[in-house]
Amino acid sequence: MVTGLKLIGKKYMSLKNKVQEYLNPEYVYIPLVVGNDTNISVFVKKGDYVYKGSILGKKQGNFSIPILSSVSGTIIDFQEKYYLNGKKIKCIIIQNDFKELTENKINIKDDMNKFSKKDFIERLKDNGIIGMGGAGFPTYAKYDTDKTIKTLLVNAVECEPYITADYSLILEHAEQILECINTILKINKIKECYIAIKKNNSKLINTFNLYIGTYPNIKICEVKNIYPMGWEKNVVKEVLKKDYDKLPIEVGTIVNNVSTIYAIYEALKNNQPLIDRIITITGEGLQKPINIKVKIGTLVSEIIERFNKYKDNKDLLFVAGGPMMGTTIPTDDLVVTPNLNCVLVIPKPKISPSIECLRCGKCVKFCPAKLAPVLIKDNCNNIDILKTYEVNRCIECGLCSYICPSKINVREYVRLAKQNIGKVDK
Amino acid sequence: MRKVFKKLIYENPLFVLLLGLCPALAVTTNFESAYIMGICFTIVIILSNVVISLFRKLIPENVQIPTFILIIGTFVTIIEILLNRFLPDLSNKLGVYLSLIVVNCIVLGRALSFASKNSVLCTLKDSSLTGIGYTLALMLIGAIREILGTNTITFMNSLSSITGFRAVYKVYPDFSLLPNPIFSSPAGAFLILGLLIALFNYLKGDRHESN
Amino acid sequence: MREFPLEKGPFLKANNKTSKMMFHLLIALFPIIIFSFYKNGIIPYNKGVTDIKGLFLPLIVIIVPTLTSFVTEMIYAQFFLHVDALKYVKSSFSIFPGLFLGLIMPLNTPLSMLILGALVATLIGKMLFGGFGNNIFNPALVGRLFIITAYAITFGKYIYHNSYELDTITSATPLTNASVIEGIGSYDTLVKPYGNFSNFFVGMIPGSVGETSALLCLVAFIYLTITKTIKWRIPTFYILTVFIMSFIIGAFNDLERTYSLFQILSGGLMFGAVFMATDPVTSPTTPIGQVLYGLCLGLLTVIFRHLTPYPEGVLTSILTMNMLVFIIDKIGVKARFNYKKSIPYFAIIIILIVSLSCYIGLEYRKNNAVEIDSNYEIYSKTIENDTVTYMVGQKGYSSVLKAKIVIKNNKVITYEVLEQNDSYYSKVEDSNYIDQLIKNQDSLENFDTIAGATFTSNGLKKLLINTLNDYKNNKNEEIKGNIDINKDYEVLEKNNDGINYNYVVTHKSFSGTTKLSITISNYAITNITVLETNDSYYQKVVDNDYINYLINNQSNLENIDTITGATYTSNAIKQAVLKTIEEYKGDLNE
Repeated sequence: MVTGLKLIGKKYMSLKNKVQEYLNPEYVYIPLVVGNDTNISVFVKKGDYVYKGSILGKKQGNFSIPILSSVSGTIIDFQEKYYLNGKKIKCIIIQNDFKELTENKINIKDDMNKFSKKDFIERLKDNGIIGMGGAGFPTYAKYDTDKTIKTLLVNAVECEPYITADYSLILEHAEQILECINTILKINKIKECYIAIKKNNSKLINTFNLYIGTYPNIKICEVKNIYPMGWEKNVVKEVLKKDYDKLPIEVGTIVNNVSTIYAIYEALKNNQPLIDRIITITGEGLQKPINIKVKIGTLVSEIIERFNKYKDNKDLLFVAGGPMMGTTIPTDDLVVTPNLNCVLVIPKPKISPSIECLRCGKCVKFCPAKLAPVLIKDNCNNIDILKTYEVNRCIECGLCSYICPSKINVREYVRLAKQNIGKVDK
Repeated sequence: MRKVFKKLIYENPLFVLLLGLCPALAVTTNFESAYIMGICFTIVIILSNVVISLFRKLIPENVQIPTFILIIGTFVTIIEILLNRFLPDLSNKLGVYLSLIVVNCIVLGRALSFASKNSVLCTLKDSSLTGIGYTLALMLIGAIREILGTNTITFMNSLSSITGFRAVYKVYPDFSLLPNPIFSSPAGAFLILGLLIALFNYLKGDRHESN
Repeated sequence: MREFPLEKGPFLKANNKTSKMMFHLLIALFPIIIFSFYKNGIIPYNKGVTDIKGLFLPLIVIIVPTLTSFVTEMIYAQFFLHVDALKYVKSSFSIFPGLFLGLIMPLNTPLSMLILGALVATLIGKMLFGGFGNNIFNPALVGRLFIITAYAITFGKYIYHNSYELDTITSATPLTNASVIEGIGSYDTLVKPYGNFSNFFVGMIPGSVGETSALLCLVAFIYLTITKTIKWRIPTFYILTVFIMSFIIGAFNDLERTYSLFQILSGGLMFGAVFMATDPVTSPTTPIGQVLYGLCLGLLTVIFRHLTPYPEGVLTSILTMNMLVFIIDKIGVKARFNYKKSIPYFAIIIILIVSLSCYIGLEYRKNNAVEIDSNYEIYSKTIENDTVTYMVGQKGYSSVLKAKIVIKNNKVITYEVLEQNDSYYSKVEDSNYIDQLIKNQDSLENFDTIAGATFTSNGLKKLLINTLNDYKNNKNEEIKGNIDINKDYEVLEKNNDGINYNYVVTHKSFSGTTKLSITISNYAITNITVLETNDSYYQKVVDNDYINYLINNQSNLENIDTITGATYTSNAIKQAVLKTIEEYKGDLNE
């Protein structure tokens, strides 16, 4: 039984307007980071000319994957721009020559179903496909396993309020997504696939139902409209009724975000690397909240200037990510990366002063990771006790801080506890 | 003079060092037992520490503790016998706690940490101050418990066999809230002790003990 | 490029606040306060039992501690914590210790004790631990415990004497009543004195100010669970455990439904379970911990109610479990990831629950089977054909009532009180109580006692009941009494020739016994002769010619004076003559 809390959706804001496109920025800033890992070796230098899809760098260590350029042009400089975790990351600045030239690669445009598993994994790796749901994990590594994969779960839940990026993608490309899923099933010899969609997204379900008849292996599974239903463990529990410890492959499942599936489609069909995505730029602080398809590396400040425009409020917050799990960024110099799905501009919320903890137990009741945040808060400096609380299971979903009647920011204490344990483990 | 005051309040063996709590809860049901106990204790600690300090160079390290207990035990037995002969009902009231002075942490602790390392005069000063501090603390608890618990204050009751006069006074007229028998019971003793320790902590303030 | 401030944490706001939760709690308490005002203030005022001060007494008992705790906390915050008192009190919810204390105290508690109780509850129970959110023990219970332990002696008058109940048999709460009756009782002894179960449910029974109404507590529980204010698992499992354990205990004694319902609806269990045990600060935060907490609370309450001499179990069990909350939370945290880890603890508790309730039930059953009324004693019992003659005694109000009861063929023929010394016995005589008892001998349990002579009449009733029980159970056992009733007086010999009845009797006198021979003919004493005496002052009796004086004034024997200087001696003779006359009358009737 998955527990959670129903939050106010606020998704209507960005769905009022059509999906826009901004695929010709003057400069792109490709950050040298994959997921959270900044250990990238760079293969280019200032002044080099690159094609659309050339390798700029490669992530070292396990699960190595290349970083590709999203436009063709000249490398001007290296600069630091903000990344979605709130820190400044070194970026390669490429001046766009608007020609969209690609390197001469062997363009396999034949039947997608003829891929062997090895080639499939190779294709995913070469095109730099990483998880677009937020984690940024190299997708090929999920499929590169000897264990039997029984099910594929496609995560179209998008549980956080305000975000509608996946929603808009599905509305436009449902047919291709289904085709891609079918291919993946055939290539990896997976028996069936479930697409997890929230019960109240009837429009999406109808869109899928138009095409799904031809794919008997693909089924739609409706899930409850609660937060954080989109978390991997919750989706697996709700759809397959199974629990796992660290990775879904332990129960024979692979979970992929639906945007990643579409990127895989482009990679298999057109050998096109991951160079653009749809992101939601919304919030009460913007005049026109929209969904927009942009190139990887676009500066969000440019997008807002051209399309959204700030409202005249003085006190606005700029959040990368959703309202529950996002981080505030000091300026709007944020670059778009594959794992950024939303930018929020909201008025600064009024802070109620926090009072003593009531020990009501609500944070314990709603924690999806089955932790006891109130007890962690009481002992956040006491390492011995913390070790029994398994603090590292926390996914930082923010429900404990949301629900606290005393307005204590419990999540911060859990983060502090995680830091303290991390220091000791070193 | 300031030093004396400082030692009595800021290093009071009962309220600050939290030693010798057992007799402090057991014999302080009335004022008289409290101060008699304190006096006995003071005598024992002064005499035994002085003797230990006299012999400090002769006692080897590894037999320190049994030797000290022997010396302290001698003096306690002397006091016990004297009390038994001259003030038998007091000896009954104090009961086993008189014998327990032998293993009272304060006596042994001061002996180990101070008397065995310093000269006789210093030991005399230190042990007498410790004893007086403990006595005053006991008297304070005894007075409060007796006044609140059984509306009397006994200055001299069992001692009357020696001195010949009694002094037991009623302090305030009885009314519905007081006397409250809970203070004569162990529960009240803990309460009063806790509140007094809090008071002494407050008086101590944020001083850092240098010793 | 535009700059923005940095913030942490979720940027959505939830609607709930602590002050809202406390407000819901106050709303839930409101009907209970109103009901208590109605039951303890308005009803006696309408009956004319109390005056205007009594009308508002329930409200005063509730408001005074509330205000005291509020003011205490403000003063403490201002002078000891050096913070702004008003701001502190807004987020500290200081009225709750006092409010709950007012609701669980008996009605006639003196105001000074209420104020002291509220002071102790706020200071020792809450502020000294660190203020709101840091206390380990429920402050209202700490205050009540202090007052009860300290003033139980003077309190005995006030405890449970309630102006609402003036003419019931016992003005004690149902639980105190249950602890006084022997054995486990029955529907008639446990519930009947207060009406029926609906009285228990609505709350028209003696008890503390707010504790009695189970109906209103149930309504409050439902309201608070719907608004998600309290931890609902705790009262559910608490009351369920007490119900099941009482059911098992009652099942051993054929009382299942009655006893279990009685135990839940009395003693302030519902109030304690819904409001005191679920105090958020002092109860566990993990769901499995809450279940364990409720089970342990139920177990402890039943243990304290049956195996200890104190009738009230709720207060001490809640305070004991408050100490153990941190252990329960540790178990609860481990059980979150893997619920199997908590199974050994549950197993232990459930085994304890089942075994202890069986043990208590069996104990009651053993006691019931013997049915010893310790105030009842059979001196002698003789059996002749169908007739059994009992010489029995039962404690009355201030003395032992000794009587002779003759039962033949299951019917009481004679019931004669031979000796008693109760002050109000005249009332019993005036209302012909004994004859009524004999008439109603088949339904004696519910027979009323006489107002103004409750204990005496109750004693007489019990005497007959116990004797009938003994007749039913041990008809054929004779008991040779070696205790003589009237050991003051004994008939040694008697003989008659139809007209003259001669008695040789002894009577206790000043030093030993005096032996007399008394002859009565036709209701007139003809002869009194003293055969033996040891009294030193007998000479005075002889000198004053007392015996002839007695014979000459025999129509008015009771009022004859004794001889000064030989009081006991002369009294002995006089009493001997009086008792012999009674014996004569009895002999004539046979």
